[in-house]
Amino acid sequence: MRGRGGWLTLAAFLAVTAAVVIMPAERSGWDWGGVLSFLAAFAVTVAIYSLFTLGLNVQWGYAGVFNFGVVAFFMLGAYAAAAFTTEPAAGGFDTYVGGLGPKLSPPFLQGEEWVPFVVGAAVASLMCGLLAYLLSFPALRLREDYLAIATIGVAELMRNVVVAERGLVNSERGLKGIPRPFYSFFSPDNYEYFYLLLALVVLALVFLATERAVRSPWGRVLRALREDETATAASGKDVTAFRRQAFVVGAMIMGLGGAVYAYERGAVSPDTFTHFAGTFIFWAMLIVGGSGNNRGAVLGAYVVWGLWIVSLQLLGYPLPEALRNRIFYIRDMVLGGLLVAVLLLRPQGLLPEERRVSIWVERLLRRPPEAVGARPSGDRTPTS
Amino acid sequence: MAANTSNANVLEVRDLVAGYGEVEILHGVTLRVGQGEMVAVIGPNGAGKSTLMKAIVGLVRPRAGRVILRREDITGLPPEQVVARGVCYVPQADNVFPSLTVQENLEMGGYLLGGRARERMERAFALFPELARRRRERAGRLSGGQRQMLALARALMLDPQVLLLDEPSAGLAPRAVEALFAKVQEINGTGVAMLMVEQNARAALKLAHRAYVLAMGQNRLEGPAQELLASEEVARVYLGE
Amino acid sequence: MTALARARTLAETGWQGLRYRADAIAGVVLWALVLSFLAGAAVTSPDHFAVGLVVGSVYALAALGLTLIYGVLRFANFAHGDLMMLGAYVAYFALTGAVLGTRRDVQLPRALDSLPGATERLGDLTFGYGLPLATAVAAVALALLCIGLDRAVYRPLRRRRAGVVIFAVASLGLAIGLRSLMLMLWGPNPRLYVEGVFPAHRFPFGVLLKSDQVFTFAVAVALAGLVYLLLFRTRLGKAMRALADNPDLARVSGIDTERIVVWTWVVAGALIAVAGVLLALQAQLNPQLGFVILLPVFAGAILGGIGHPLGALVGALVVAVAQESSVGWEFFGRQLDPTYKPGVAFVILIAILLLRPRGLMGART
Repeated sequence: MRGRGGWLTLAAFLAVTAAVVIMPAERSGWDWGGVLSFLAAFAVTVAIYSLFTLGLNVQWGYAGVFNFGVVAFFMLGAYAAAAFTTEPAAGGFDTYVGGLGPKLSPPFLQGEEWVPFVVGAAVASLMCGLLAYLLSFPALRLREDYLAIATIGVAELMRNVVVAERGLVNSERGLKGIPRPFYSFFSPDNYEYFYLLLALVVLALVFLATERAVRSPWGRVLRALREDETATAASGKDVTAFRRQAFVVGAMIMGLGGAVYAYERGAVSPDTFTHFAGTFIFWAMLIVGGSGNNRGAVLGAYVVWGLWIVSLQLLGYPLPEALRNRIFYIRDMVLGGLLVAVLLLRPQGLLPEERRVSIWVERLLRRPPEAVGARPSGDRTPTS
Repeated sequence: MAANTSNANVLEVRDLVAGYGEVEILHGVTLRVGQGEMVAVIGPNGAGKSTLMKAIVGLVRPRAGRVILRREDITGLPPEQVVARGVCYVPQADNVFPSLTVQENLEMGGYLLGGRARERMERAFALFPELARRRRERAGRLSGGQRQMLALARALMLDPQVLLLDEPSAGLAPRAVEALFAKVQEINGTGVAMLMVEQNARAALKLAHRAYVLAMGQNRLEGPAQELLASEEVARVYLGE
Repeated sequence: MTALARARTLAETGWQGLRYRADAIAGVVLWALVLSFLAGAAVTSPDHFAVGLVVGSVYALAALGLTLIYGVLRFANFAHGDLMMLGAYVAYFALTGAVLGTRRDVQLPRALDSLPGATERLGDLTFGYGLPLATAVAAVALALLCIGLDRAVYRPLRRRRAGVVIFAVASLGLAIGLRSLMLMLWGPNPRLYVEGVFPAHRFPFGVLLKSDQVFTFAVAVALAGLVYLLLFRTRLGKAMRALADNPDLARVSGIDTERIVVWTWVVAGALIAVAGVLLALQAQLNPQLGFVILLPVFAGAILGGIGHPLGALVGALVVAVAQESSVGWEFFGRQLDPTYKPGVAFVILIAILLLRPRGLMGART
C-alpha cells in the first residue's frame, strides 16, 4: 500500500514545493531574504491549517462524524482566543467581552508575554470541546447526510450569534489588535520565523499526540469500531461514547488551531469565516491529501495551500486583464474540480493509509453490496 | 416426469463463479431447470445460495461460467435485460415497494408491458384474491405473508419462463408458509419453471421435482427430491437429524 | 396453531398495530402543529405571513427539485442552490445576451430581448414574454447540464456504490465549480432582470404584495401540483417512486433505472431553472445566493417529507413563514434580531430530524 502512494505523492509534493519556491524567487529577482520570509508565511499557514485537517481527520476519518460545520469551531476558537487576550481599545466604538488574559498574567517570568496566550488557547480549545460535547447528543443520532445539513446550520447559527449579539464580540467589526506571544523579544522581521517555529512545534505535538492516541487502547477500540461496529458494540463497548470522545477531541484540536490562527493574524471578523474558507477548504485538503490518515491531512494542507499561493503568484506575471480579474475564480474552480477528480479517480487521496485502518472511509467510499432493497433508514447507519 | 434432455432445459447454469469485492462466494456451480420443473437448492448458511440467484438475474456479475436461458447466453446481462428475457426474481427481503400500493407494485412488475399491464393485473388479482381485496393499500402495511404473496404476484406479471425464489418462507409464521407453498405449487402447476432456494429444506424437498445441495459455494449433491429427502446423508448433514 | 403461538402472533400484530398507531398519531400531531402555526401567524401578523408566503414560494420551488433528487436518487445535492442560480444566469444570458468581458459586459448582437415586445410588461407583472421564453431555454440547458453532471460524476459514484457522504462532498465540489463559473462569466456584482421600481398593491390587513410575488406563489402551487401528478398518476412517476423505494427491486422488475434517472434529472433540471429565475426575480442575480438558501430549503424539504412534492410545498411555506414572523417574537424581553432568521430554519430542521425524520408526508422508515 505504501508503494502505491509513491510516485504521485512525490510528484505532487515536488511540484508544489518547486512552484512555491521558484515563483516568488524569480519574481523578486532572486532576493532570497524576501523569499525566505515569504516561505515562512506560507509554512505558518500550512501548519495552522494542518491543525484543522488533523482535527477533522479525528472526527471523520477515525470516528465517522461528518462535520460540515468546521467553520463554527474555527470561529469559536479564534474568537475565544482573541477575546481572551485582547483588551478593548479605550474610548473606541468597540464593544466586546474580553481582555481577561492580560489581567491574569503573573508579573514574573515575563508572564504577560506567554501566559494569556497559553490560557487563551486552552480556553479556545475547551470551548470548542464543550460545543462538540453538547452537539454530540443530537448529532450522533443523525444519519450522515442529515448530520451534514445540520452542521451547516450550526455554523450559520454561530455566525448569526457573532453578528447579532452586539457587545459580545463586536459583531461585524470584529476584533483587532490581537497581541502576539513573545512579541517584544524579537524584531518584527524575525518574529515571523519565531512564530513559524511555534506553530510547527504545536503541529508536531498535536500530530504525535493523535498518532499515539490512534495506537493506544482507546484508539484500538476506535479501530475495532471501524472494522466491525456491530461486533464492537456487542462486546460491550459503548460505540456512541467513543465517537463522542473523538468528536470532542477533534473539536479541541480545531479550537487550538483557531487560537494559533488568531494570534498570527492579529484580527478576526465574521466575514473571513465563510463556509468556503472555513469548512470546504479543509475537506478538500483532507480528501486530496488522504482521508483517514494523519500524514495525508498535513500533506493535503500543503498541496492545497500551495495551489493558493501559486494563484497569488500568477498575478505577478503579465496576464491579460480578463484573466487577471478572474484568477481567484479559476483557482476556486480548480479546487472544486480537483476534489471531484480525486473522489472519482483516486478516492483514497494522495497518501493512502498503511493498512486498511479507516473503515469509515472505506465504507463511505465504497459501500459493501447491499442486500436487495436495503434503503437508508432514518437512523444513523445506512449500510447493509 | 419426462426425461430432460439438455435442449428442453429452460435454464442452465454452468460452472458459475461469482462473489463480492475480493471475496469469492461461488466456486463453480452447475445446475439446470427443465421445462415446468420445480428445482430446489438447499444447503447450510453461507453456501452461496442467495449469491447464486443474484448472479443468475444479474445483480451480481459472474466472474466465470455461463448462464443460459433456453439457447440464449444471458451471462452477465444487467437485471433489466435478464428480466425482459423471461427470468423473474423474488428477493428474500425487501421484495415489495413499501410506499407504493399493492396495485402500483403490480404495475411496476408489469412495467415492461406498458398498456397490457392492466389485464395481466386482473389475472394476478384472480390468482391472489387476498391481494385484490387490498389493491389500494400501501404495500408497507401488509403482513409478512401478504407481502410475500405480493412479491410473488409482482414477479409473475411478466409471465416469466422461469421464476427464481430466494427463501420465500423466511420470517413467515407457519400458517403463512403453508399458504405460500400452496400458492407456489399452484403456480408451478400452470407450467412456470421454478428455481427455489430454501432454508426450510424439508418443505422444499417435498415440493420440488429435483434438488441440488450446495455447500461452501460448490455443488455437493443432486437428484430427484424424493431421493434426497429419503437419503440418510442429507438427513444427517443438511436436515440436522 | 397452538394457543401460545396464536397469542404470540396476535401480540406481534398488536404491537405492529400499536407502532403504526403511534406513528400515525405523531403524524397527526405534526400536521396539527403546522396548520395551527400557519393559522396563528396569519391572524397575528398578516403582513409577515404574506411575506412568508412569498419567500416560501421561492423556497418551495427550490424544495421541489431538491426533494425529487433526494427522494429518487437518494442523495443530498448541495449543488442545488448554485444550479438554481446558474439557471437564473442562463435565462439572463438568453434574455439579454450579456456576459462579463474584461471590464464591461460583452453583448451578443441579438438576444431574446430584441424580439418585438419581449420586454413589454405582461399585465401588471414586471417582465414581458421574453423572460418566460428565456426560462424555457434555461430549463433545457439545465436539464442537459444535470444529465451531463450525472453521467460524469454521480453515475460512476453510483456504480461504485459510494456512500451518501461522498455524494455530498462531490456535490459540494461541483457547487464551488458552478459558483466560480458564474463569477467568471458574469462577475460578482448583482444583476437584475428588470431595472426599476414597481409599486406593490395593497391588500387588507396591511399586506403589501407585488404582482410578481403573487405570480411566483401561483407558479409554486401549480408546479407542486404538476409534480404530484407526475409522481402519483403517471407510469414514469411511479417508476421514480419505485426507484426511490428500492433500486435493485426496480431493476429486477425490468425497469431501466438509468433511464429513469435521466428523466428525473430532466424534470429536476427544469424545476431548478424555474426556481432560479423566480428567486432572481424576487431578489437578484448573485452567485453567492445559491448556497445561502440551502439551509431553509433543506429544512422545508425535510419537514415536508423527502420525496413528496406537496410536502415540500407545505414545508417550505412553513419554514418561510416561521422565519418572517420570528422577527416579532420575544426572548427575555428582547425582540429577536432579524439576523437570526436562518437560525429559525435550523431549529425546525433539528427538531424534525430528531423527533420525526420522515416529516409530514415522507415514507415510513
